[in-house]
Amino acid sequence: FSVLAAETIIWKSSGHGPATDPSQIYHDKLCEAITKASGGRLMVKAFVGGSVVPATKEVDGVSEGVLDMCYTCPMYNLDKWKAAGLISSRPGGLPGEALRTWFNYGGGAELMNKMMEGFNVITFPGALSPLPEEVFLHSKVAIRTAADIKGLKIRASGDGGEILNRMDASVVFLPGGELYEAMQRGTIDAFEYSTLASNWDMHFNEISKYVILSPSRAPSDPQCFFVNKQSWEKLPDDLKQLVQDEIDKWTQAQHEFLVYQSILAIDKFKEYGCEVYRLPQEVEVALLEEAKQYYADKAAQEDQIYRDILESMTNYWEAYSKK
Amino acid sequence: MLILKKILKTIDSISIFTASWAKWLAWLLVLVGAYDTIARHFFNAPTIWAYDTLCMAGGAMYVLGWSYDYLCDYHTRVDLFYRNLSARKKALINVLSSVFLFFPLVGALLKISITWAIRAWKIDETMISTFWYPPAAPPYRTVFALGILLLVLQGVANFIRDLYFVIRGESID
Amino acid sequence: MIELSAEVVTFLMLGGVLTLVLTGFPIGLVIGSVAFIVGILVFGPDVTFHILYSRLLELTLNYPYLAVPLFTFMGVVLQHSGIAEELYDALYEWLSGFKGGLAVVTVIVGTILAACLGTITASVTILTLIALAPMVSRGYDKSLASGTIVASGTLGILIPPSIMLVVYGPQAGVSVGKMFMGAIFPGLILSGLYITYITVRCYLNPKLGPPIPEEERAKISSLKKLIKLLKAITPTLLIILAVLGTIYTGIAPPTEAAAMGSLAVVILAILYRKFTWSLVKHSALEVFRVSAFVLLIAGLSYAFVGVFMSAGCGEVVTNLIMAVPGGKWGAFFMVMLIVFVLGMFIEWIGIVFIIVPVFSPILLKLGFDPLWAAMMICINLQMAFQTPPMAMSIFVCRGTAPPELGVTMKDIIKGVIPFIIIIMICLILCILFPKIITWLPAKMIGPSY
Ligand code: NA
Ligand code: NA
Repeated sequence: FSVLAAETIIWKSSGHGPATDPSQIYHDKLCEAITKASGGRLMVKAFVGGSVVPATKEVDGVSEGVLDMCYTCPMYNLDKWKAAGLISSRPGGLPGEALRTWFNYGGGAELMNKMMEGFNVITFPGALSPLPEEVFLHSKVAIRTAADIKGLKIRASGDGGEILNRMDASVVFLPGGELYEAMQRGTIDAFEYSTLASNWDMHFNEISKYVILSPSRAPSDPQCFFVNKQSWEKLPDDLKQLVQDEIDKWTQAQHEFLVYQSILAIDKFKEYGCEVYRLPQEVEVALLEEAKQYYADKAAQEDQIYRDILESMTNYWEAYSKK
Repeated sequence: MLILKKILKTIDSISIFTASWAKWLAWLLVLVGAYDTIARHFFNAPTIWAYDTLCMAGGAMYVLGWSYDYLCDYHTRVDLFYRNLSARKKALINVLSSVFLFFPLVGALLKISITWAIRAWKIDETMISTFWYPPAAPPYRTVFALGILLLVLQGVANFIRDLYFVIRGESID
Repeated sequence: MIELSAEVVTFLMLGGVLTLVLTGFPIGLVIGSVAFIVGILVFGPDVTFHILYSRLLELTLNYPYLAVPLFTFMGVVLQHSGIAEELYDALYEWLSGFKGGLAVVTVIVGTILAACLGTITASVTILTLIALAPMVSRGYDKSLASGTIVASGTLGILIPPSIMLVVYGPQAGVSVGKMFMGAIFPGLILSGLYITYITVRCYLNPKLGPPIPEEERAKISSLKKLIKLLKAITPTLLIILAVLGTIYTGIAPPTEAAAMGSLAVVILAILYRKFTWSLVKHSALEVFRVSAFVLLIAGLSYAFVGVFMSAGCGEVVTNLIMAVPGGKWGAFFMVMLIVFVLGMFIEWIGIVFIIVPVFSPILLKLGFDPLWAAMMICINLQMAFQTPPMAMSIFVCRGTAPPELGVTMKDIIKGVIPFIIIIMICLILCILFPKIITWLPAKMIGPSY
């Protein structure tokens, strides 16, 4: 006989895909782990990004009750919460460990829940997995001074794009799928995309001689689990604890896996013949200055929660740096 | 009956009027697309607004065209059997498919597109594909809802015409 | 909400679409309604409304699909520019004296137009307008004449540029640039096979395509003929340069290249003195009308897939295909068969949206090269345009054909059958020699991943 009783709860959960993306793989593993660990009392069905709701629109789906849970980048929710951009991919933002500890212990998760007030969605400590820093740029030309950025045709998204724009780059936007050929044919000179490991999988070594590293532009592009409020409240306490524990475990596991993949990827790019180098400090400083100014300007116009998160992260970084 | 006729005519002319100005978005696509390419490649002066502008202009054009195509019967059909039916049987099929297929679908779409348009205005939703961050989601969602509304209206007009034809065996117009 | 097994839902959704389209209700709305009804049964209204709305809206804002209005625009303006007529006339001088010569000219013009335009509507319309009357009035078999037009016009959506490849690529995760390169040889091979077929048949039975007697042809020197041909072919080369040149020299990605192509045809129309205010208005309205119905089908199919996948039907189809005997080729044959059957009933864009998310991962899992597999499906879809009951190319040809020629639906369908068989032969060739598809993209862009 089975312990599977009438009380079996079924959840739908979506990653932001594609199927081969590590974040989707870890999302799927987690769903399976919860189902197993709960002895089938909570069955979490995993969906690949874009199959239920359009990819990157997962949180809207969770908030509307279409999904019970999702795993996606906070940044994709910039459309409703401007402050989401502070947590994700922020030039001058918190790098990996600092970000996760801020989120778990420094009040990050609480602030994020506050940011999401009025929507049917919550998160909790342990739900965030910081990705390793993104590449500063893949480029056809070497960048040695801040002046080298001037007039360069760079594909960039998000606030980073605006900041490069302020540094006089010719910033354009193209979908990720078009980057390879746009670089190959000279439509653009340089671009930012994801982390080294996933960029290796996109074969970007073939189209960019220079791989320029610096945590300044996107110190971490975290992914985070979001849960529908009602679905959460309906769970018995022991299952709540179980879900939280499993999520904590798998977000950490993904983080470690990706950090290691990043290390491997650097060697792969070098072996292929790309010049992998650290962005000169002069340029880094110029970018961070520009970023600081940009966020100061922006914070003045945005809601209180925007200022609260910015301040909390800034303070945390100061304390963290002293440790 | 005269009033009914007048209503039907009004609905038709709304669809036609919409087409008469929304069609110019086609030229906007050509001109903005070519301008952006030339500015970027030949003058190293890419625009940051072209991407979102093109997407929204295209989207608005499709959405506003749905009622016009419904009025003019341009939506593709598989007319293997349909083509050989008498006008009255065609009208009957139209009536049945309107009731069971068309109205439930577009009615639901209308309801939810209005909900999300209102929500967009409330939360000041921005578009985030590019760092242009245009505050364009509320107007876009509104245009989308408008397109669906026009489609529903045209559906009502077509439905009344077909129903009249089924019952009377002659056209109302 | 009702508890339905994923198998039942799969059956309801696919069966529902295939039967309800036969009522003659617009295809896009049928697909959307089936998704709506099944969604309500399985997920309840809130979830269903959200899936439909968010996906439909998302699709209307999609950047690559702007190629739909832009390629339509190119087609409409080119159709009114007189460029295609000149090309036809020039080739006529060279080839009309041979058995089946006019049909061969039609294939050649169709192939060149295909390299200029991204849709079938424009190519089939143009070919019907310029080539049908000359053939029929010179005693060509009506079936051969109209079949040639339909098949050659349909090449417009295989040979790059092509809306279909632009739509297909991003969904399958294959680059549009590689799709374009990969389609060139299959397209040319089809064109060559069409010419071979026409020539062989007309030499075996000259009644099908009698040569034009010498006294009926204008007597001009070879040099003049050559000059005329060069003059006629130049504008098409300029258009090819404007689109494919723009893409391959890095001036712009495919979507914007379509805008450059549109600009190029406008400039040519101005040079040809065909650019009138009425063309300005007509082109806008035509683009408006065509993109609306195409994107409604695309958007509601995309919504359909949301319900289909959420209900677990993707897995059902995957398991079904994996269970086909005959290993990976058995499964591959099954996929091709399903595409062919769907192609009879649903418009290509609906098929692409419904099958790509389900079939691409399967074909990948089976170890097929993604570019090759994508291209095989696109070649397969050439047949969809020509297989009734939903046969867009045939509809366009029938709708454009001057009624006094007396070409019936039956004539066209009969004429198309041999060309369907030729497409199947081309598919077999691509299985035996996969390099037909993969060699050029590998050479020009890089290996397929
Ligand atoms: Na083409
Ligand atoms: Na067909």
